[in-house]
Order: sequence, then C-alpha cells, then structure tokens
Amino acid sequence: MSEQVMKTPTPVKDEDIRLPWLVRARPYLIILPAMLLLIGILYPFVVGVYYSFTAFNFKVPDSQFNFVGLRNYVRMFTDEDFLYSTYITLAYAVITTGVELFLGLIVAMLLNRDSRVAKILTPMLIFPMIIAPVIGTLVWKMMMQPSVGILNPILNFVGLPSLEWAAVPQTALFSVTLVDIWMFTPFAAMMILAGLRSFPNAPFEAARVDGASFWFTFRNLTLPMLTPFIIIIIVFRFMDSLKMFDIIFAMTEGGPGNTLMTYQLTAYRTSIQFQRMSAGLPYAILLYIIIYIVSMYLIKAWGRAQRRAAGY
Amino acid sequence: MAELRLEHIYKTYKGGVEAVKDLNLTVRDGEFLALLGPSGCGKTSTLRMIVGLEEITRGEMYIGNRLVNKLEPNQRNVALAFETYALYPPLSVFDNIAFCLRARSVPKPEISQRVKQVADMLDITDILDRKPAELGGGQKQRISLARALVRDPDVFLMDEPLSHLDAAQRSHMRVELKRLHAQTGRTTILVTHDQLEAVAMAQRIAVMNFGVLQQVGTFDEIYNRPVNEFVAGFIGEPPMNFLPATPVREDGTFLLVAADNSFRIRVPESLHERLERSGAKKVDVGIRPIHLEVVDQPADALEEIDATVATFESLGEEGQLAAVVGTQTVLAVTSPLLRLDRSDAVKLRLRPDRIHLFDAATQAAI
Repeated sequence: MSEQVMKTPTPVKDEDIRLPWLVRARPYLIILPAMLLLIGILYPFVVGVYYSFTAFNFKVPDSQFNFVGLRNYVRMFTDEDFLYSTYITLAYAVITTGVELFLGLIVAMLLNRDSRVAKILTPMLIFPMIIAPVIGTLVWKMMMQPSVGILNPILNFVGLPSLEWAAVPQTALFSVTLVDIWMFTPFAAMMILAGLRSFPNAPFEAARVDGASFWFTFRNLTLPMLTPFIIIIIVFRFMDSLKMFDIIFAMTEGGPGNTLMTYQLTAYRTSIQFQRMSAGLPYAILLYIIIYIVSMYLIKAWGRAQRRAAGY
Repeated sequence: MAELRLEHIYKTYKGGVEAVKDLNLTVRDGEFLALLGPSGCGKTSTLRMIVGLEEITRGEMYIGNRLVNKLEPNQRNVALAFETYALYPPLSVFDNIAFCLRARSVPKPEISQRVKQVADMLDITDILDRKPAELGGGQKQRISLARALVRDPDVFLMDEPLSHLDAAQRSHMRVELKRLHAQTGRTTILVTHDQLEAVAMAQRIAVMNFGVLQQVGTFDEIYNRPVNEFVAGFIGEPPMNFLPATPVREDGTFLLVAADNSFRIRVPESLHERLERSGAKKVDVGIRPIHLEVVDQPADALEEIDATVATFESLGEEGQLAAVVGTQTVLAVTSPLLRLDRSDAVKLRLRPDRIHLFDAATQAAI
C-alpha cells in the first residue's frame, strides 16, 4: 500500500486515439463506387435538365449558354404533333403491357403442371429474350416484307388478305406491338410461372375439397396471390415500353410519316438527328416524370398487394 | 351423411413406398372414428385418399353406396380440416369460411348466417374481418375447423385438429367437437397420433402402423384385448411392459419362466387353453404399469417377481416406479406415498387377470 500512490489519470487527448488513416478513410472508400456511379447518373441528368432551358444546338457554338427559360417546354406542349405523340407513346405501352400480361398469364397457367410437355416448353420460353431486340425486329421486318416475307403467305393460306404491315399507318402500330409482344410475353409468363410455383400447395388442395371450380379458385385465390407478380411485370414492361426505342427504330424509324413518333423517338430525332439538343430534351424529361410517377404508384401498389397476398 | 367403406385399399407412392397396405375399414353412418397411429403409419395417406387428394393405387372406396375412386374431391362431398390449416392467405377469416358456400352459389343471407353460426360455436366472431397471417396457431386451427364445419358434408375429416391448441383450448375443443358430432350425427373421422384425443372423442378407434391397419374397436376392446404387441404398447400411458418368457409345465403347474431366469409366474387359468393351442415356444408377457403392484407381504410366489428399484418418482397423485427385473426394466404405477430408494429390493405382483400373452415370434396376442 505504501508504494502505491494514487494518481489522477491524465485525460486522454483526441490525438492519442487517432486511428491509422486507412481505417479512418475506410467508410468513404466503401461508398466510393456508389458515389462514382451516382455522379455518373446525376451529372448527365442535371446537365440534361439544364440544357432543356437553353437553346443548345450542336451547330451553334456556345449556344449551351444561351438561356431561354421555358421556351423549349412551351414549344413542346404547343407542337401540333405533341398530343399524337403522347397518344402513340401511351398506346404502345398500354397495348404491349396489357397483351403480354394476358398472354403471359395464359401461358404460365398452361405450363404450371407436372407434364412432360411443360418440362420441354418451359426452358424454350427464354428463346425470344436471348435475341437482341434490334436483331429480333429486323428478322420480323424480313418476315413482314411483302415480296419475300413469310407472314403474308401464311395469312393468305388461312384465308386472310395480305397486310402491308409497318409500311402503312393503319397497321404500323400493330406491327411493332406484335414484335414487342412476341419478345416480352415470355418474360411475363416466366414471372407468373415463378409466382405459381412459389405458392404453397395446401390452400389449393383445400379449395378442391371445398368444391371450388377452376374459375372460382382462379378469381378468388390464384389471382389475388399473383397480384404482386403481376404488378412487377407491369412495372418492368410498362416503364420499358414507355421508353421503347429499339423495336420502333429498327422497324420504321418512327414512320411511316410520324405514325410511330413516340416521345423517345421524337427526342432522339430532334436532339440527335437534327442536332437541336435542347429542343428534344423536354420530351425525355417529360417521359422521365411520367415513368417516375407511374413507377412510384406501382411500387406502392406492389407493397400493398404483397401484404394482401401473404395474408395480412 | 353416409357410410364410408374402404375395401382392400393400397397406396404406393412413386419410388415404391407403400404407405397403405390392404386397408379394410368401414366407418358406419354417423359414427365418430379415430384413425390413430404414430407418424408415418399411413393415416394421413388414408385421409388424403378419402378426400380425393391422393389417388387410390388399388382397392375400392365407397361413400354411401357410391364408388368414389375416380371422383374429384369436389364430387365426393367430404370436408377436411387440414393440420396445416391451409387457409386462403388473401382472404379474410369470414371469406375463408364462406369460400365453399360461395363456390356452391349459396345465397348471400344464408352464407352470412351460417358463417356467423359456426364462428359463434368456435368463438372466432371477433376476428372475422382479420387476415390469416395476423392470427395465432390456435385461431388458425379453429378457422380451418370452421371452414370444414360450415359445410354439410357426407363425411367430415379432421387431420390432427387439436395439435396446435394450448391445453385449455384443447380440452374445450374436445368437448365441443364431441358435442357437435352428437348434434349433427355426421360421419366423422379424426386422424391423430394422440391416444387421449382418440379416446376422448371417438366411438371407435382404428390403430394403424407401417401402413397396416392393426385393430379397430372401441377403446375398451383395444385397451383390454389388444391384438398384438404394437397395439398393446401404443395404447395406454405409461406403455405396457413386455417381459420375454418361456411357457413350461412343471409338476402339473403351467409356468412362465423368464428368458433370463429372473422370475417364474403361473400362467393365469384363463389363458391355459389359448396358450396351449397357440403352440408358442416363446412368449412376451405383457402387463400394464397400473396392474403391477408393489407388495409388502409376499403372498403367492408364483404371482410375484423380484425387482430392484431404479428410480421412483412421486408425482403427487401417483408414484412412478422404474424397476429392474433381470435384464429388463419395468414401469409400475403405484401409490405416491411409497418410500423407495435406488437399489431397494421390491416384490412386484402381476395381477393374474390382467396378464396379456403375446407370441414372441409373431407378436400376435395369444
């Protein structure tokens, strides 16, 4: 006891507990890739929004600094083709999403059984999806070709008249949506099939014992349980087809005339082909706003549907 | 309501697993029958075949006088309360119960009246607008029962209907289900592994093991006259003791001598003839723990066996004694007031009228 002298401990200074710099920098290093990615996404977006308020034209030097306020937006909304462009953008998205969902549901219901045919056909579903959209479209374009294409002979064979497909305004929308539906119905079918396969067996056995018909069970049990999967399909397909470019461009470049000039095609033609960057941007930004609002709404609906399907 | 008749029913799964073998069983019109057996004994396969969720491999099944082998579940008019509840997740409790009525286009006012009635009975009126995932196991089980009860089926089946209830709910539901059966007079089949449930509710019990029906009868018949060692050991708690022995004639007395020479007891008079007729060389002596008595004053040496106490537990209302006889351990239910310590020597008396004999080779009752 005598040797030990009680000393008040010296207070620990901040410098004393300094960690090696690498340890201190670690959190920042970890989020660095995400930051870089964010910059990669945000920078063009912000610049794009900025350009939409200028008179930026590739052919006019320094025009990106020529601030014109809302002029580009006013021009877009007052353009005589704007309403038609809106119509064709929405029509394309609604038709393709709707039909793909409907056909996907039927295909998935047919494949959701323990048969050899289903086992062989299910992997084949992904065939259209492994082809690049542009190439798939070009192949369809060849098949639609009036002189050498195979589609008209098939139509004639079953007693229908030849079509001029994407070459005339009357059937142009039909032709491109047909390609989209061919290409993406398998996606819908696979999502639905994944949903069906994930369901527990017991409630469906109970429904059989309860004496429910196929339709009754489908309406009251299968469909509510599938809703989250259906909404996912709508989120993906609706957003994707609102901004669809590949198929329309490869098929007709937006033609004939302006028949298939969606927002995306209009933005591309104005900003890139005509090099009037700032005039095309409002279409892209409007498209962004529409997709943002629709997807926010759908994702909320998805959350609700998922809770409902799980039984909450 | 109808009689259910199973004739030479077999169920063989893909891969050759024989879940049910040559099952012959008749459930009388209005009868409450329990299908009792350990896990994997084929009782659930049997149930699923009755309902129509599982194909019958061989044999014929009749509901009423209708051959139902090829009928879909909805054509059989049977109701099943699933062990896993099998509730419809997206539907409210009310809609779950109303499902089968709606599927059969029952008029709306009648639906709500019938749902309310069955909900009252099962005490789930307050959760009718809730969703299944919000509910506890006991509530789900009652909904699953309600769903089966709301119908008017020919045959009513329950798969382990009380397994997820707590003790109080369980005894309450046992009484409820029994009362319900008495009220409706429906042909009812209860599948359970719990003999207490079977005994408490059913009029007859069918015991299954390894896919084979062992014995059908009232509890009394099964308990007092088990047809083989499996049934004898499965029914009764604690289970019956089995002691291997050899029947021997000695000076005109018919004796059972332990395989390890640890005891010699007299063959009860009533079993003489049957034992001789069976010609069994080796037997298993079966005696229930409550028929093994600890004796203070040795009286008849040929009714008593020597044992050594292994453990003795006083459980309040009764005592449980585990004692070693030769190389075997036997259980006896005794008075809780005994003072017994490990290694104490005791004499145990086998009540002669309660001795069961089984052929050691076939395990069948003699």
